[in-house]
Amino acid sequence: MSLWTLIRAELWRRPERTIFTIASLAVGFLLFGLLQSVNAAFGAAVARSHADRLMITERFGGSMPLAYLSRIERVPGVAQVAWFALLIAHYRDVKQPLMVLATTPAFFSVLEEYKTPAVAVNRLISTRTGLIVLDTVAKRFGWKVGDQVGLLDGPRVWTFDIVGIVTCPSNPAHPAFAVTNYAYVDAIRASGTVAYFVVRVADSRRAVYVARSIDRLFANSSAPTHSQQESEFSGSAVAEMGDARRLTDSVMIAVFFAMLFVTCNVVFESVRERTAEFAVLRTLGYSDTRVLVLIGLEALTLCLSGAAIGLAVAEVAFHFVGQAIGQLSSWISTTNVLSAGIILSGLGLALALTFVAAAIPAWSVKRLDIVEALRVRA
Amino acid sequence: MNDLKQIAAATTVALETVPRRLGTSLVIVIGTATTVAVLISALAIATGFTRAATKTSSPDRAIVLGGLNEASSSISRAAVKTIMDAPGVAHTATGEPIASAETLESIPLTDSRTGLDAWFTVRGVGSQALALRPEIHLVRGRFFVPGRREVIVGRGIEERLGRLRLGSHIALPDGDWEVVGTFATGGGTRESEILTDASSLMSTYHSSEFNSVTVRLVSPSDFARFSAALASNPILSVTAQREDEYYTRMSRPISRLLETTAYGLGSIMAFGAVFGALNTMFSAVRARRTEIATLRAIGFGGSAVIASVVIEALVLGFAGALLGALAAWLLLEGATVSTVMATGTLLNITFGVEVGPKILLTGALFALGIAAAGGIFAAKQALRISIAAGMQET
Repeated sequence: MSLWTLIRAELWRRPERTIFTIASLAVGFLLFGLLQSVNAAFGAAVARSHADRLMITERFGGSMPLAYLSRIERVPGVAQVAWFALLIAHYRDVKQPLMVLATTPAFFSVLEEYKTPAVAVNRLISTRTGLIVLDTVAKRFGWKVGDQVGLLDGPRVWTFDIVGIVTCPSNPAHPAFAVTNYAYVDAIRASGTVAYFVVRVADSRRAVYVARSIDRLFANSSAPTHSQQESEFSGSAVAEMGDARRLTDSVMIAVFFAMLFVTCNVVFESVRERTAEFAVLRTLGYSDTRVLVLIGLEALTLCLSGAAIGLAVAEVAFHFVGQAIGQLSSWISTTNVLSAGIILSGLGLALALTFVAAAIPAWSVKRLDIVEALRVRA
Repeated sequence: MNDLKQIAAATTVALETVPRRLGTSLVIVIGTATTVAVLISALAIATGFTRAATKTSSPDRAIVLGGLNEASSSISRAAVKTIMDAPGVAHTATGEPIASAETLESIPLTDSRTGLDAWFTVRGVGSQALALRPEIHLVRGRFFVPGRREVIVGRGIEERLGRLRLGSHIALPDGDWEVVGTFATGGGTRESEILTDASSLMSTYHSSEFNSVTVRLVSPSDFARFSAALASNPILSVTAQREDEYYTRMSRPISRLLETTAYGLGSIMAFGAVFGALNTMFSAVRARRTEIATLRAIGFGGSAVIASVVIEALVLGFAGALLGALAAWLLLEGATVSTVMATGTLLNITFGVEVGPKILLTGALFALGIAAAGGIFAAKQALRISIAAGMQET
């Protein structure tokens, strides 16, 4: 009789117990998958955000003169500079806001995560009132390339010609935005100021130094700058999303504790019920190791089934959770799937669970006094 | 009556044998305890946030805005005068309107917990701010003196800005301003702000417009009169809202997110715990096979058996709820959480978590629900035990 036949027989000895155990472990692994993915999404925003990029804002929340551009470009270590002003407008109703970034095509070469075809960029250059909109915005408002649309900004009406679509593959749920020509917006607003400079530095290890050089340049001007590495910029935004990490970690510990208890108990109970059977197996010449392996494999089957089902459900569920997270902030990117790393660590968790759950019962069986155990049966 | 006696007897027997099945019985207790602990903690955070966001607002104050939210709103100096003179506004003994025209700025300061820069709100307030908001009181130091480039810091962010001790300085556009005091408002988002006088702040930022005007009404019922007067004035393009309604509306997106997360986590965990409970109670019924068959044989009804199983489950579930609540209380005691609240700009707020009776009741209901689900299915199983088979030695 092979080990697998025995394991199958034992697991189906009390089918309801096996099913309940696997189901409750599956729920545990579902939570594990979801929470780890949420953590990963927050973490990825920090890790993935480009360490070679500096976000420069006016230190006190105002705007900076565009004239800073040439001085920033001359700072040693600066490779490329993009910049944009913000136009917070709405489409038809204040409840449909759209953030319009007034910029130049350099925007797309520095902020590489936004993808748009070269032909759209060319049309933007040749169309003063051109507007490249995020794919999800175009879909929501039913806009197509070639449409002319009016956006409201207080009493002012802005007319734009849609010349292209931009996508953000790293965050499918990116908050709404669109890109237009700075020249068009500033000709009307006549402020000559921008909200952000985005600097790509030649060497990310010198990013902090470059940031300090830039800030020193404008320290005594009427609009001092505040330069942060993008990882720090998004890091502070993420850290402020509530102490999410601490929360998910505590929940995971609670869940793992409960899962451990469920598994330990089931293995323990099932081994205790079969004390006599183990004695018989031993009498038939099964070695200690073989009996241990039998108990271990039984626990492993339970844990791995739970893990497989739980992680599979998490994969589907995360599609929705990921979307919700993506809408929270443009800095948090999600891919809507569980990463291989999370699946692997889930399987690792299953192994750890198996090991702990099988250890005590296996040890008690190893110490089994065959004669004593068989007497119970008689 | 006889039925009740039977139920009592059968339940007593069931509960008396629980210690013999301690291991499996604990599965239900631990399962409900962890669920309740997580649910209570998450709800406490949600409630703490909502409370903090709305706490210091009052129905007898009205906030007047010239935009969707305070940060994006602007009100001219001339409009401020008109708003303060509107009917329904309360006055001091000397005839001054109890109102404060306020201005908001945000500045980056290093968060001592993360070492990263975070944005904090500096609020410039009017001369009647203390009459308007009697809840503001000093914890340390003294109030700022208008015009002297001094600020006071809210207790809620004091800890996060570890360097910001009395006498230290924060950088504003025209140089360093001194921290002269720490204030509290008995909780609420204002404790996460830095306060100074509006005119100094405005001259520092070269701005001439206020963000909002908050007025004290003679009584809450004067709101309609006040609001109508502003709406009918053709020179003003502002809207008045009751202060409590405004803050409730502003905090709703995050409140809702936190509550959804709490109930989502709680429900998933409860679902898992139900399977644990099913295991426990099925195993309990197996262990009590002989006993149940005996009870049936001596004339106990099915309802007594069902009740004994379900009540046992409920008792274990309730024990789990108590344990979970205790664990949550030990973990959360005195804990504070910080998050951002979007009111146009990102406002950093730190708040205490609150475990109220309503949350405890929700936790208990979840626990009893889990236990009942486990108990009822197992009870059905118990009814299927035939007397003859059950009495056999297994």
